[in-house]
Amino acid sequence: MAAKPGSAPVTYSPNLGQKTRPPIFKDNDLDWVRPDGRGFHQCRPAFFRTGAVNSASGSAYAELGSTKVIVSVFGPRESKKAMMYSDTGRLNCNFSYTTFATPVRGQGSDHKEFSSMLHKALEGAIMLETFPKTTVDVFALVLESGGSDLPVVISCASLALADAGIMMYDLVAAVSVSCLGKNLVIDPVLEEESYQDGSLMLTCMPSRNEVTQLTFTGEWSTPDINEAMQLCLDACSKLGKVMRTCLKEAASASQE
Amino acid sequence: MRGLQLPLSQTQRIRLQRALEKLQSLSCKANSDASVTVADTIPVNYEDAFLKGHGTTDLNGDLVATVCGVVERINKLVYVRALRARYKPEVGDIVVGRVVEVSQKRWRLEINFSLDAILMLSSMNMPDGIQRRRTALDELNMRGIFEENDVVCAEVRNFQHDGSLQLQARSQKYGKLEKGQLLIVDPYLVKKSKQHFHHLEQFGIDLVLGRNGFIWVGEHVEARDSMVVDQANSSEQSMVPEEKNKTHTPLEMRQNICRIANAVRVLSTLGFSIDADLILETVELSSTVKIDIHDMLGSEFHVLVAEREAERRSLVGKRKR
Repeated sequence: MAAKPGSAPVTYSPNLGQKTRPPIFKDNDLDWVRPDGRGFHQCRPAFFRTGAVNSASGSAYAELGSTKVIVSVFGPRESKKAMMYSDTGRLNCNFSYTTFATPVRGQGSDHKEFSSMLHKALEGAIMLETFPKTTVDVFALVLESGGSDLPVVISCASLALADAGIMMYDLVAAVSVSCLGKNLVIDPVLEEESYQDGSLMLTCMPSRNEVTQLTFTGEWSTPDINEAMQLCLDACSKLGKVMRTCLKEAASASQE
Repeated sequence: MRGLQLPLSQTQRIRLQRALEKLQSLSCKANSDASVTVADTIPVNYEDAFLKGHGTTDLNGDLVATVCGVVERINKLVYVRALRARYKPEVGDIVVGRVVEVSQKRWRLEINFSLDAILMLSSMNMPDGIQRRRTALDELNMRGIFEENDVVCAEVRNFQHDGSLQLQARSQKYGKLEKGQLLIVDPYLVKKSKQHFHHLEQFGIDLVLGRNGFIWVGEHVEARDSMVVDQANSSEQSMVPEEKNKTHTPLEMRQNICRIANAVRVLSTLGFSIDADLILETVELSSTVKIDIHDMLGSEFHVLVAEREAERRSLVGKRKR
């Protein structure tokens, strides 16, 4: 740290004008063919079923293509952290992968980042003031990761919350869009996610037309942003209808 | 998975479906258009004045549901009754709970509610039956009365200002439950009735139907009346509990307990309301068909119970007309 008298002070400043990563699709005319033969604006067929876990207050299983998740909801119940009286309830989210979820066997640790994103997506939709002083625990487990894990988990979690009888403003549907060169691809698979230049995940409440969470990564141009958001909103409303039919079927099956 | 997930053969599946269809046609509340999911609009005549109840909210002037359930209308009140929700306690309900924690002058019990219920030391009868002020010595001996993981039967006394529940166990029929099984079913299957304590004489078994969905099936214990106790007998009776701990429950008693417990499990899987008469009939059915205790949880017995319930309800319906 001893500077010689008369020498310039040592500074640190970033080098501007140098891109950190060359774009994967250098050739503007490259066309991407989706591995499962879908159109660019076509989502995978969704399968939802509630009541997957017997011991939980509410639970749901979702399968979109090869992405399979189970979400279980416990509560409202008392928790040690909620000892202080509060007017609103607490939402506690936990997102974890199983060890066999990825093609290469992994550690199965829980993702703190995804947990907090799941929390932000759901807390706008739940009426927290209906269960003061108690906690609702949401545990999400990804059984197989086949691309766009977080959006599938968010949709599945809102179904599980509805199954548990927790009051919500609306169901939450989530969809993600990937930018591959000049193409916008909805509901990306694992392979497409690894090649993407940018991604957008939109979580919205379809009947209320309100967005609870918006996540952009990568480089986006303004017309692409507009187009991608329109795509997402359309897909979310369609996904919302699918989720609603699933709940209605479950409700009519259980009524005696 | 929730619901009936038994391996049913083709004929069993058809029989079960027919029985369930018959039950559905007999039930008077067969209005499936009243079921709503989250954010469905509730059909209401907006000119009439109506009250918005639980499970509803206002969205741009429309009445919208916030839970999945059935729309109920009582006079001017419109609310949505959730299909699967936690137990909703009322004052005077009899509940069965498990002790979670022993803290200062109170026990915390887990009942199937969003908060733990509190049983104060002062709401509990002392073992010697004398009504007196609880001293510090009583507080230190709390563990001698109830410990963690004990099953306790009590009555709901009141709600506190922050929403938590206070219980009381002031008479001899409440208190620690021993020598039996605790079963957990959905709370809406246990309806409010005049009697929640049942003593099944032919089996010598006590049945406690807690309104929170916790059901206790256990060996019959003679309830001592604390008023009759006088000084001479009190020393004798204080020795009796120690002797009871040493007595072994006979095999036949245990088999009866298991049979009744399995009958309750079958009824809860099929989704029928649980009351003592129905349980007794199911147990009689199992003994007439000479089915083994562990076979009671198999598919054949489930189908038999469903069919018999459908017949019973159609007979009741015919008698009414």
